[in-house]
Amino acid sequence: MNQIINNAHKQNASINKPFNLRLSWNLIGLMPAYLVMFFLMIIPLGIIFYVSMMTSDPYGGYEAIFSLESYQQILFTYDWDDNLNLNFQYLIIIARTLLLASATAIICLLISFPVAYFISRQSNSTKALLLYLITLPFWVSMVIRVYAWVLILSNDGVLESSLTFLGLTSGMDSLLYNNNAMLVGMVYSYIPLMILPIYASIEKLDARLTEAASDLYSTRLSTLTKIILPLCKPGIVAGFILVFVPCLGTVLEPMLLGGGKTMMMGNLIQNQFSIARNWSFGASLAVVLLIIVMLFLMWNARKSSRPIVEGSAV
Amino acid sequence: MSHSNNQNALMRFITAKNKDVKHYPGFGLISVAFFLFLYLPILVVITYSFNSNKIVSVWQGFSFKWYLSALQNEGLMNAVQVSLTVATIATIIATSVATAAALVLSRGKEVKHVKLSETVINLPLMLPEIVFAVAILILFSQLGLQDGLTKLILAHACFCIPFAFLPIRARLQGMTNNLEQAAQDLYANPWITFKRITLPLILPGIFAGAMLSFVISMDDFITSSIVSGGGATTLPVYIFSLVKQGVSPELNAISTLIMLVSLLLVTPAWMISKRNK
Amino acid sequence: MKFAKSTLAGLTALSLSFSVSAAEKLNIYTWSESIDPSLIEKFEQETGIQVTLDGYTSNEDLLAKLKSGSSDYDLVMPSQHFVKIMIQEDLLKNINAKSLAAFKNLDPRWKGQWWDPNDEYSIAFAYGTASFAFNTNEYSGPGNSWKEFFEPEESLKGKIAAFSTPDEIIPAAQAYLGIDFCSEDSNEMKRVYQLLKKQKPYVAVYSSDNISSRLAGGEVAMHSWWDGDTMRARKDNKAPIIYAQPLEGLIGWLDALVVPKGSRNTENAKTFINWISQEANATTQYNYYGHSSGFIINARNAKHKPNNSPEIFPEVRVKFTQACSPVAQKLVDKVWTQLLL
Repeated sequence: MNQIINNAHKQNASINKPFNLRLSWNLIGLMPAYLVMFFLMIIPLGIIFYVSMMTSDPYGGYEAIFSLESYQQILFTYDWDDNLNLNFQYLIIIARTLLLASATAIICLLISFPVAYFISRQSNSTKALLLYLITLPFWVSMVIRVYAWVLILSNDGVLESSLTFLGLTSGMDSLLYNNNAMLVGMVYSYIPLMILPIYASIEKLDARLTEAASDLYSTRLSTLTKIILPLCKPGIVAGFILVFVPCLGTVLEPMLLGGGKTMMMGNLIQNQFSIARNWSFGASLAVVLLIIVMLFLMWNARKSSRPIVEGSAV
Repeated sequence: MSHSNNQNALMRFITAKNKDVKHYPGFGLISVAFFLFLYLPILVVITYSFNSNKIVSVWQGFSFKWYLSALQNEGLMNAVQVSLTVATIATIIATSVATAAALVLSRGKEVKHVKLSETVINLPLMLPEIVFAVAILILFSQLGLQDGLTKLILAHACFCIPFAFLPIRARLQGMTNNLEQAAQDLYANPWITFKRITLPLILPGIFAGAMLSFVISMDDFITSSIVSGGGATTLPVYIFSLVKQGVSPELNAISTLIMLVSLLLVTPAWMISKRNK
Repeated sequence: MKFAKSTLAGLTALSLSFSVSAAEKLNIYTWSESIDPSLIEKFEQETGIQVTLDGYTSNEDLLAKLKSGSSDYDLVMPSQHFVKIMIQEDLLKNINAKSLAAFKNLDPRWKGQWWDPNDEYSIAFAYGTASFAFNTNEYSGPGNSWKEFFEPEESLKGKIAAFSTPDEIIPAAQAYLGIDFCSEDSNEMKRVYQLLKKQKPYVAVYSSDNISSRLAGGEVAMHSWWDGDTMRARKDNKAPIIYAQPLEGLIGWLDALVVPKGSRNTENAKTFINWISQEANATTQYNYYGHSSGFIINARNAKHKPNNSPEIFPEVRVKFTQACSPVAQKLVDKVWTQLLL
């Protein structure tokens, strides 16, 4: 029925309206978005590539002299006798960034799945309330949420004083300024981005499938691993991307919870544009980060474009 | 009575449904722990904001004095004003641009490269924000753009577009165009059709998109801190500068006030969106 | 309807922001907590100019902000060597400082100095020294050599904090090693690097923020710091802190008021410079800030006097930092990058 109306309408439209006019309406509607993205995204990214291949000015900014020195600087440094040496320090920062971002995404996943599943089993009004409670902290300023962890983890912070009060410890090392502190902060900041897509995919799950599985004497565990998890894969993948990508460039957690001593790529890049005043190096690090994200997204797109055998077979 | 109901519900959360095949033991416990984890830090900030002691972690007594000093803090009020101005204008720009794009992509005839257009519009989502921030810093510095507010508004409008676009697009995709076609078949011109039919129908989507971009703009730290200049310090950048100066009770009071405001903003929006479902 | 309402609210905010921009404004970017807030209020009342005040904690921060262009500040306060660099880099406006009323109130010592020989760009605001301060509950002193800071005793492991930028740390290390400031000799800078590298295990944190609470609270025993700030912590907060006066020399600095290129409220900036240079205001500022004033102050009303303020009336020699050539600056950056990696 709809189909017929649609077709009739299409004919109608193509008779009444000249083709060109349609096209120009499309153009007018899309133009602003394209203009904004072209001038404020694509051109700046082009400039980043350009600056990364220039020489940086010791007082800040850059000089328009071609040089790949800033890329070389990621891997090599000149020592005090002007010999070029392999230098793993920046690679360590890149590796730490990848590691912490993956760890965050995995921890978020491990927590999110049970929680999302649990929520999906509640009554409709409880569901709505719990989802509201999950998104609520997300509306609170990110800076404040990270700051709250400074309050908890610092010397004489909440955690230390309560543990001391319970007699469990006395005078422990500071919990701040290390990888674990950053990890806690990142999980806390980004976990709603994991729960919501997973929840959405669990909600779409056909209840008859799990019932059928149990009728066929499948254990809960095998129902979970063979049916529920594969069917929730799109949600899990979406959540993973939504957490992993922003974590790669995160700045607040390393600055406030890492104390500036244990760096991640985000604050390393930011430093190059502030006190270190090395624009070309900062730009080349930004290019590296961009390439990492692109590779990850492309790999993911290729994987998900393949048919999911287990999932679609059911 | 409702109290005992709640208690029953809580008991059911944790104990019941054991016989149910869909029940997984431990999931309830993990969820309770998760909600504690989610709200504990916020409770800590709120509690300490009432501590009369200047040393945050030592409780001395209940006091509102930090709220008074927060409200009299000129720097804070300036930052609030800057943030509200930037977020409002950026939201209006982003929502208009996104609505136009979403309408074309969902309702336009013979639109080519839909996938490509969506990718372009969603570009800010695929990019770590720090890369965008330094890129736009260099752009503004090359252009010699002066005004701090203008710079913030342009940058925010750009990265808010996908956040406004997604809910509007979802709304449009979720509804059939039968009504619009009926209107056109009754010889309503496109503008009347849009005004009387399409716009009212997608208004909840526009509202959700505008809301989302407003919050994203208010909350932004990385881009704002890199781009900000004289007289254009946004709220998160101001709070960060306080955090750097050290933990203080006034900072806790400021944070609590901001949380309160977000609560007052988000709750009605949530209820509206719930009703519209 | 809802949307109409929020649009309306937006338009109100819009008109609000325009009405604000119509008023006379002055955007000051200066060292954190350096200008007495009561003076700012008084200035706003007397002139009707609205002041916004942002803070930084290192010259490098300021330079980076100005270099990124279009920062929209009207008045900033770099130290002497950065004044020279900023003039070279064409970042400052020529305000013909000689002709300002403030120039007559200037301490004659600070006229025609090397960073601005013709007094075109800058008016001296405050001067002082950098050294290290220690908490007497944690470390007993004596506090008369840079050795205590750079090659500390074993008990200070993880109990020292240093500035987050090399601006004054590297000159201090050079003073200790007997190397000239802004050395272009990479062998000499290698020795500076080695000294700092050896010190690193003793350093808990490299930070220029929040020094007062970190040191007074005993989180660290020793901290890079400035003279007037140490004195304020000692006098105002009764903190058990002593400012070390190394025999190898204190590191001198002078902060000057300058107007960045591109400032849109240059006249207001000049008004402020003239206003703060007046004897009564300069004295109030001196009493608040605790650093020596670049202007002539009223000695009778001055709170900090030689007998109660050893910090700002040092008995050891003071060596002022210099503007380094690009070659020397690259070596400084190299030391610092390799140190912090």
